[in-house]
Amino acid sequence: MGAFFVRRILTMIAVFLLITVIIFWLVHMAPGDPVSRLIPIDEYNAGTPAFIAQKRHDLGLDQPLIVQYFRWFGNAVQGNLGYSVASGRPVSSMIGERISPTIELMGLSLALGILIALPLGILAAVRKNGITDYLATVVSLVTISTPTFFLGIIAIYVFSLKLHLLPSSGMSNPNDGSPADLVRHLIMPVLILGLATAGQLTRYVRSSMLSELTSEYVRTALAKGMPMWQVLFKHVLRNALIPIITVIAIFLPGLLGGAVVVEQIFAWPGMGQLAVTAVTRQDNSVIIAFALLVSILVLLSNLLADVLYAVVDPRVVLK
Amino acid sequence: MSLLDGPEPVLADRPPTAALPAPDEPSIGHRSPLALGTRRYLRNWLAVIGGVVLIAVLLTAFVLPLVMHLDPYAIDLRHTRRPPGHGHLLGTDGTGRDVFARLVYGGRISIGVGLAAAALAIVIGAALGSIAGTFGGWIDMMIMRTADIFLSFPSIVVVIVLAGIFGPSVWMLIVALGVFVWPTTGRVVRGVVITVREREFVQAARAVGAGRGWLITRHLLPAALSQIVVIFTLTVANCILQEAALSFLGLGVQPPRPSWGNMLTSAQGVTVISSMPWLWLPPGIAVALIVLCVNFVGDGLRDAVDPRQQSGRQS
Repeated sequence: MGAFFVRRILTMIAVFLLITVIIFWLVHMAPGDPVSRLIPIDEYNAGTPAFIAQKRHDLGLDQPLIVQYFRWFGNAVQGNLGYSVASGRPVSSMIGERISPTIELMGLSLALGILIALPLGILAAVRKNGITDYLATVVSLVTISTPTFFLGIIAIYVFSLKLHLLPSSGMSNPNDGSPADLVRHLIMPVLILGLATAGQLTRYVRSSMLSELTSEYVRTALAKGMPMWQVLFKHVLRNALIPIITVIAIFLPGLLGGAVVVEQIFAWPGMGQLAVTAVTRQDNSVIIAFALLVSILVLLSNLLADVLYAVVDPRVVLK
Repeated sequence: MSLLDGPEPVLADRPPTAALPAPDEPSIGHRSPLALGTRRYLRNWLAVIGGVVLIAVLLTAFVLPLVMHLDPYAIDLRHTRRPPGHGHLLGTDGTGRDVFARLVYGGRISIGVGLAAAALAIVIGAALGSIAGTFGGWIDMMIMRTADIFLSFPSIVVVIVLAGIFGPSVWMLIVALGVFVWPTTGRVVRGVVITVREREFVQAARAVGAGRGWLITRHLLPAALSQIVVIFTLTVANCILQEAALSFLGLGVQPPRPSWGNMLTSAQGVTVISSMPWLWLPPGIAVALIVLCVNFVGDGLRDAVDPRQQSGRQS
């Protein structure tokens, strides 16, 4: 198993390097002067042509592409991701202050999604073709099919504008920084993203439970007189959870995609909102940093899925 | 149902309607696979309703503009943000354009982008999936590992990166969606190819000297055709949803050209949400409705094509 993981991690690093090459190449193809992305924008705008040429030389932009790549990569690894064209601030600190709101949103939504999907999926599988099963299928299809931004607007309409219960945007009220205020701001974004997650997850839970319920060991356990609930929770659920845990790990990047949309609707100050704003301002250095972070998240969650698969299921022998 | 009943017969899986065949129908042995599939499809009432609504929406989007004068770009600054009525079925937007006309033309674009992106994904997926399944070995491993990575990149993020660097456009949207949703098709086609590859008729073809290209195009892809149709429907639904989200964020279809996603962008203000629901309800309902219908049709097709596979097994 050790050899398997060493090989997996090496592949992962190779893929990551390939992705950085692609990102670097894309940025090289981008219109505009690369010097403007690497020094504070005020300095660039005020600079004489001679100053810009000097900077170009200092930054190594007159050197061969391959040399530039390694220089860029070296800087990125050390956390130096350049400056934002729009605000003139270093990108690393802009990203830094946006990460934790996004992680809060994603974590809570995932937790809510699991809390809804597990009982619903289990119930739907146990009472297959019953009313719960039917309801679970329809509800999950509806939440999968309705765009999150539409659900978000409906939620704002109902809870903020008609019932005046919850704030429609932001992370906190400037005049009230209490934890209760944060919770009030969290409810709607987490609810919307959590429901979207639950919709997809319920189908996996249901089908995983169904395929376990038809196993021989269930029949045996019931035949020797074990009560149904005990069979369910002691045997079936444990086995059914194995593929579900893997699916959840693979879900993480998609959850970030959903968070981008939800952050935009509720003006949640996270990474997704930063990235979308960066696109409208053609702020390339911020977008590159975002792309690198997402690539790392994608590769790590793929690795996590593999690791969990082996750890949770003792039958799995990896070579 | 008690769990001791064991695996139940497959046909009991769907709602028990129209179970008894009419007396003049031929017995089951004489029906073609297509007729059997159609029967199974028609028994799933959600799929039937989905299909009917889908056809109605398609007719409205693609045929109605031919018989009725609708101009999604006509600006009328004296009649902005009018509620429904007064010659405008769904009212007017911020520059006095007819919301219904924009909804219809937006539907053309949203559905068109969905179809084009899904078609691209199917072509890539079928080609790579059948190559992976036929050749096996390290080629198979390379393709499927790439598929894993592509599949786990959220396409929203990919489009953000591309739109940020090159500026947003419809073509980029189609290519980015198509290139990042192909792995689902690739996996399904590979699965079918691997099971069919060892069947007698393929071995016979190989014995008389058929090459791999011939096997893929004449024997393996046709065997996967029904599965490809199912995956295509579900991919279209997914792509329409993604297009809507991306256009909503301003990264897809650009105004003044309407799309269901970008019609909702203007609804981010509190005044519009609270007092002008005709601006945001119709496009939102349209996306939800068509995606739901396409999903119902896709699920129905899956059960009709392969009754052993139950709906809900894969997304």
